[in-house]
This record gives sequence, structure tokens and C-alpha cells, in this order.
Amino acid sequence: MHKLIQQKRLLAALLLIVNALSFSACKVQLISAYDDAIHTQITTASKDIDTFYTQMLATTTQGSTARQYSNYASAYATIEVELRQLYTINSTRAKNAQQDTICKLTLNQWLKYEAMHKGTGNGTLMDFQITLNRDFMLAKMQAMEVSERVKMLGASQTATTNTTNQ
Amino acid sequence: MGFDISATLQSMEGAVKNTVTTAWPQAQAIWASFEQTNKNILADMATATISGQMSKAELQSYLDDMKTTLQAQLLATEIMALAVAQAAANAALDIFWAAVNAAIPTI
Repeated sequence: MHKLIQQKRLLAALLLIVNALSFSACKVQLISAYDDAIHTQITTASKDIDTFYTQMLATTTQGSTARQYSNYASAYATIEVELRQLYTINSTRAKNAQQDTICKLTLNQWLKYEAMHKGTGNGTLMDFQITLNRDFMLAKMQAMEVSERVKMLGASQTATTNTTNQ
Repeated sequence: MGFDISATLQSMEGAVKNTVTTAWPQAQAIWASFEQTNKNILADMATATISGQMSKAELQSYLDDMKTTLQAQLLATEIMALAVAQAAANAALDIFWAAVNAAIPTI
């Protein structure tokens, strides 16, 4: 009788272990997990781009030497580094192909706009070009920010259920 | 306690519905913000074209940028759909494992 109870306990313990193991393995993972540090990095880069163009538009006038590329070369490089870093980080994350592409498109667009400003040497930009370049860069950054933030969609429900089960 | 498959399936369905219903308004708000962004861009492009400041080649170049912007927005929307599907599937699985846990005899 004592042996039978012991066997029953052993079987129940075994079932619990198997169940716990299966539970941890049975989580659906379709996209990379939300990363708060990356989200902050995206919003910082977005703010830097907005500041860059808004200041250019506010502090210089069309056709003036102050708006020439050479005065902005350093700021272009700083933002290029920020965008390249975001691309590098995102390309190494698993299940992150879509966001990886968004980062690549954004970096390419930044390089295109830098070349536009540079022209054939030390070029300049018209007001409408600054406005549109800012519009398009911020639209890409918005898509990038959303692509990180939406990874939390529905997470609260899952988290609540998890807490109840544990 | 036994394992009631019908009740479990119903709860799983409820969890999926709840996840999708809660996420839907957020998804709509995000898409609306993309639409607003695109409207602003097109308005700025129209202003520059009508005033004669933008050449045909420049317009073509910005239209190419519009294409890649739409591509980025659609990719973000794809991530959004995957996030909701993932949360819904996990919510359903949580219900299933809770039911299995409850059905296992206690020591």
C-alpha cells in the first residue's frame, strides 16, 4: 500500500515536470521581443533628425552660404552613425526581417538626402527640399518607431494570463 | 478534476477574441497616424510643384521616396498583425495549459 502511494506521487511529480517543460516550450514567437533600449534609440534619432532640419530651416536662408553642405557635414555624419547603428542592431535580431528592412530604407534615404545637399561639391538646399526631406525622414522614423512599439500589442493580456497560471 | 475539452476550447476562443478586440483600436489609431503623415507629405509636394519650385526630376525622385515610405509603413503594419497573432495564440495556449494543470491530480 505504502509502495503504491509512493509510485503515485512519483508519477504525479513526473507529470508536473513534463507539463512545466512543455509549457515553457509552447510559446508562439512570430516576431522579436520588444526592446525598450532600441525604442529609446529610435525616438532619439527621430528627434535629432527633426532638430537638424528644423534648425536648418529656421537659422539659414535659401541661397545663403550658411546653408552650404560643409556647415552640416558633421551633423550628417552623426545622424548617419545613429541610423547605421539602428540598422546593425536590428539586423542581428531574430525574427526581425521587416524592421531590418525599414532601418535599411531609412539609412538609404538619409544617404540620398545627404548627397542631394552635397550636390557636385558644396551644394545647398531650397526651403521646400528641407521640408520634404524632413517629412520623408520622419515618416520612415515613425514607421520604425511603430514597428518596435507594436511588439507590445496584446502583451498585457498575455502577461495577465501568465501571472494567473504561475 | 477532469479535462473539459469543450469548455477549454471555448475559453481559448474567448482569449483570442479578447486579445484581438483590445488590439484593434490601437492598430486603427496607428494606421490613421500613417495616413495623416502621408497627407501632409503629399500636401507639401503639391505646394512645391504648383509654385513651380520643384522640377519634374525632383518630383519623380520624391515619388520614389513616397514608394519606400509606403513600403516601410506596410512592413510596420505587418509586424503589428504578427504581434496581435502572437499575443492571441499565446493567450489561447495559456488557457490550454491552465486547464491541463488543473486536470493533473495533486500529490
